[in-house]
Parts: sequence; C-alpha cells; structure tokens
Amino acid sequence: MKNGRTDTLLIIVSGLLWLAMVGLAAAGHWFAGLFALLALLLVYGVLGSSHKGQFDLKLVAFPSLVWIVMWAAAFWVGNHYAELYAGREPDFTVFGFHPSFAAIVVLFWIVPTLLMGFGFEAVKDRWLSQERWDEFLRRAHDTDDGNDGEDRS
Amino acid sequence: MNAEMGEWVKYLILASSLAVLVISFGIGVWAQKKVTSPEAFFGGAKIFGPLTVGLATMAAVGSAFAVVGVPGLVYSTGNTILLFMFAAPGFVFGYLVIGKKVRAMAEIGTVASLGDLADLRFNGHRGIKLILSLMLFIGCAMYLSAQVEACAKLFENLFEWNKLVISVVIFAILIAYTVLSGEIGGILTQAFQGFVIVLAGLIFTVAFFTVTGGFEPVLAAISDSRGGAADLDPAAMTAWGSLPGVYAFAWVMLPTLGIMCQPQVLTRIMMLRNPRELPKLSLYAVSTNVITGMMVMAIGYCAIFLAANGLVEIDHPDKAVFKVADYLGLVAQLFVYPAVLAAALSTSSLFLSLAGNIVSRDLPGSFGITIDPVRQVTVSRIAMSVMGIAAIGFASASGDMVAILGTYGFGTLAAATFPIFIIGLLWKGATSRGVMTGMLAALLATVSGVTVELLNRFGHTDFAWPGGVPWYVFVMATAILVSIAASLLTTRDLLDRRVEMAMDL
Repeated sequence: MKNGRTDTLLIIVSGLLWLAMVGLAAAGHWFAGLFALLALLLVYGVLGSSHKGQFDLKLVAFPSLVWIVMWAAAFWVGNHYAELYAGREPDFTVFGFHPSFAAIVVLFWIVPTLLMGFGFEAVKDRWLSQERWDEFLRRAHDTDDGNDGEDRS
Repeated sequence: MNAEMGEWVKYLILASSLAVLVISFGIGVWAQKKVTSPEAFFGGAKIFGPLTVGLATMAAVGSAFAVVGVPGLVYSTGNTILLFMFAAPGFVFGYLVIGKKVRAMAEIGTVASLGDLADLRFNGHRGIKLILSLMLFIGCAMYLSAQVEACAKLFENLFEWNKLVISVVIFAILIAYTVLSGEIGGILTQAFQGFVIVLAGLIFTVAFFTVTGGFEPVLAAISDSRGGAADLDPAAMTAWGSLPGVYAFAWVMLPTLGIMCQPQVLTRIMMLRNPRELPKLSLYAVSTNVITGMMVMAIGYCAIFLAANGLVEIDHPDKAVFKVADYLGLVAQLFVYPAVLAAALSTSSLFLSLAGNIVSRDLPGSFGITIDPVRQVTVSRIAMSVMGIAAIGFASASGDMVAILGTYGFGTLAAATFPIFIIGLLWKGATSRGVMTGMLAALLATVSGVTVELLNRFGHTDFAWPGGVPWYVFVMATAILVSIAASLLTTRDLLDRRVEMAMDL
C-alpha cells in the first residue's frame, strides 16, 4: 500500500476517531467509545508500519489486528454477561471468575499479551531486519559527513 | 498503629524494607563509575540489554500506583482499575509502532532527554521544548506525590510515624543515589527494584490461592450476605466493576494509548543497546507486568475475601495491601513492604532524573541558554532535590488517593508527549507551529482541569465533566486534535534528512 498522501489522510481519520471516541464517552456512550478506540489503534498500527513510503499491511494484520479483534470480543462478551447478570449472582463461573470478567481475563489480558509478546518476536525481521538497521546507520552517518547516501531525486 | 503485630516483626519488616533502600543506594554508588560523560548521566548511554531495560521499564511504569493504589481500588470498586493493569498488549503495540523510530532518532544526534528528541524532530523549536518541559514538570509533581503518599502509608501502617518525616527520610536517600549516578544508576536500581516487585508478585499470588482457595470463594463471599454486611458491592466482580462505566472506558483508553508515550517508556527505548532487541524487551516488560497484574488482583481479591468474612477491617482503600500482608503473616510482609518501597523508589528516581533534565537542559535550552555540560550535572542535582521537596509538599496538600494521583500524572504526561512523539514521529506533516499550538492548548487544559478538580475538592464548585469522563482524557484529546488541525493549516517544516530516514525506518 503506497504512502504518499495517505499518511495525512490517516492522521485526519485518527483525529476524527479521537473526536468520536471522547464525544461518545462524554455523551454517555462509553461502550461505543471503546470500539472507536479499537479503530484508532488500527489506524496507528497502519501508520507505524510505514517504511520508505509504503505501509506493511501484513505486519498490521499480525499481530496487531488479531489483538484488536480479541479485544473487541472481550468487550462484547464482557458486556453481554455483565448486563445478563446485573444485580444477581451469575449462574456459572469461568475459572472461578464472574463470566463477564473471565472474558476480560482471557481475551483482554492473558491471550492477547502472549500473542503480542511472542508475535512481535516472530515478526522481528519483517519489522526491522539487521540489514535495514545497518543501512540506516550507514546512511545516517554518510549524511553526517555531508553525503546523504541516496539520490533524493 | 498495628497493635496486633509484635514489635520484633515490625523491626524485621523495617529491616527488609531498608535492605531495598541500602541495596539501591549501593547500586547507585557502584553505577557512578559508569557515568563517563554528562550525556550518560542524563540518559544518553545506549549500553543496556533487553532484560535490564524491560525490568526497569516495568518497575518505573508500575510504581506505587500499581502496588498500593490499584489493590485499594480493587477492594473498594472492583475490577474497573484492573482494566488499566491488564492493558499489557498496549505496551507491545507501543514498541511496535514507534519503538524503532525513537531508537533511530537516538543515533542521529545527542539525545539524552525528551527535550533533545523534540529538538531533533522539530528543528530545535523553543516553544515546544518550553511547554513540554512545563507539562512534564507538572506530571512529575503528580507522579512523585503519588509515590510519597505510598511510602508514607507504608510506614504509617507499621509505626504511626509522622508522614512528613517518613517522606523526607526516604526521599533523602533516594535523592542521594539518584544525584550520584543519574540515569545510569536509575536504570540499574529500577531493574533491581523490578526484580523485587516480581518476587513479591509470585509470593503473593501463591498466598492468595492458599488463603482463599481460588477466585470462586471470593465471588461467593461478595455475592452473598457477607459481602452486604461488609458494605461490598457484588457488581465489583463484573467486567466493568462497580464504578460508572465511563471509568472502564478511561482506564482502557489511558494505558493503551498513553503507555507508548510515557517518559518511562520513551527514555528507556533510547538506552537500549540494539533496537532489534525491542521485541525481547517488550516480552520481558509485559511478562513481568503480567506478574504485577496478578499480584495486585490477588491482593485486592484477598482484601475483599478477608473483609467479607470479617477477618480484617480496612478503613482506607490504600491500606488494603498492608492489611492483607499483615493477615498473611511474616513471609508476605517481608516481601510486600519492600515491594511497595521498590515500586515507589523506581518511579521516583526516574521522575527525579526527568525533573533534573528539564531544569538543567531542556528549560534553559528553550530560552536559548546553554549551560556547560559539567555545570548541567550540578544544576540537575539541585533541581532533583528541590523537586523531591516540592513533591512532598504537593502530596501533603492534595491528600488524594495514591491511584488517583497516579492516573492524574499518567494523563498529564500523555497529553504532553503524545502530540510530539507519537503524532510527530508517525506523520511528517506534523509541523512545529501546529504541535506548538496543540501543546499550548494542552497546557491550558491541564491547568484548567487541575483548577476545577481543586475547586471541586474544596467545595467551591460542583462542576461535573461531561459524561463523567475524567478530565485528563479531555486534555489528551484537546492536545491531539489541536495539533493535527493546526498542522494541517500551517506549512510543512523542512525536515533534517536524517530525521526523515529515522521516521521512514
């Protein structure tokens, strides 16, 4: 995916999502605000994958998008059971937790943390290969010496 | 005073807590020999591996807010605050999105402070540096105050010592080792303190299962008549806890977006030896963060279980951790009290260093004043001492709960750093004039927010923020929206070629 003016467009979208997220929460729709947050994370994930004018959507898809989907599921399931058992004891528990909080423990905390932690290690070379880092250092130091190391035209 | 506790037990606990202080002091003195230049003192040494940086980052992020404030809130309001603690994937996301760009910036110039980083990105714009310095200073004061409060509560529970005297003694030792070795000693002592927190976390988690028998008995205790008799709300155990839902929103949003721009995270990325070790760093940081999360959940749940069963009485939420430790017995006490101290010290040393950097380097730089590097170290040491004293005063005046002060600080710091380091490093179109305008709006919004909160506290107004959203969320949103809008309306800066390379990495 080409960067060009897309980064500016994405930043504008991020601004609108900030507005939507805080606006929804301020208007009393905090639960909808959580989903606006997830969309915002996706936008930052895309922007952060940019390398020399190109977005790496594979890097966004794994692990970030998988994590975001898990959080969406955690919010939905957590809220469903919180509303279902509001004001009364739940009919069942999961690992001893209230079912709504179990969704948070599993889908918001433990599994996504493992996914992101080990997932980041798994995509390390795609994220920043040794060659790319060495090239950056070489060009940055060349630029220090008055030669930017690359034809800018 | 805790009358049931034997005198010798108290002095044993005191000794174990003092051991953390003494070892930290020893590490600080030893680390002095690694301070080979003023830049290294201020945090410009890229010499640490992922385990050291990961532990130090977790300890500095965790703070007394996590170890004292969070269990207190779990006890009083349930699971809502655990959303803040459980947002660990946001940690990794932050490294993934901006980690390599921040680390690359540290290669293209002398970067020892956040002000230096802002200078590089925004061509030495003095206004941005000035407002960043002021905002960071306010955030430092709030964060440090939370640590002072936690230390005071720790020893108050043991000896009923004077709060002010406790704070002064602990901060005097902390300042002594921080001024000796600066950020080099800071990161090493924080790594040690992180290890103490992890150890306490493991012990407490095991103790929780031994005492309660698991999570189900806690849920049963709060749900039946015992919970009602102890004035506990069963809704506390649901996904969103017993606070209004908007807190759940704020406490998911704040760490997820805020963690990537916290000074504790940004400054540590710059000290990592090799950016390709960032994934390992994030693994160490989140795995230790998960152990801290388990610990605070275990303490909070244990407090609920014990209070519901009439086994302990908790008169203030911030005392929950100590009451639970005292009930569990000597082994728990010998680890929990030092862990609280370690958590408070790790964050305090970082924010003292940050305050020192601001006063000796960033603030003079924003006025075009250059101080000789060796004199900067002296000025920084004086600034750290003054900041420590100011934090003690702020804590005495505010009287707020540790967790609340911590979230105030977290929000203020995020509002100061997000436009510069996240928007600024992700978008070449973020202009210096645009970000400067956003920062100005953030500063005004922060001052307004704190003023309204103080007026509310002292009963001069009863202003309620729309939807009950915490004020710092509006501050963050204002800073970001104004920065983007103003950048779109102003002409792009001509970026240094090397900065472009770092942003393109």
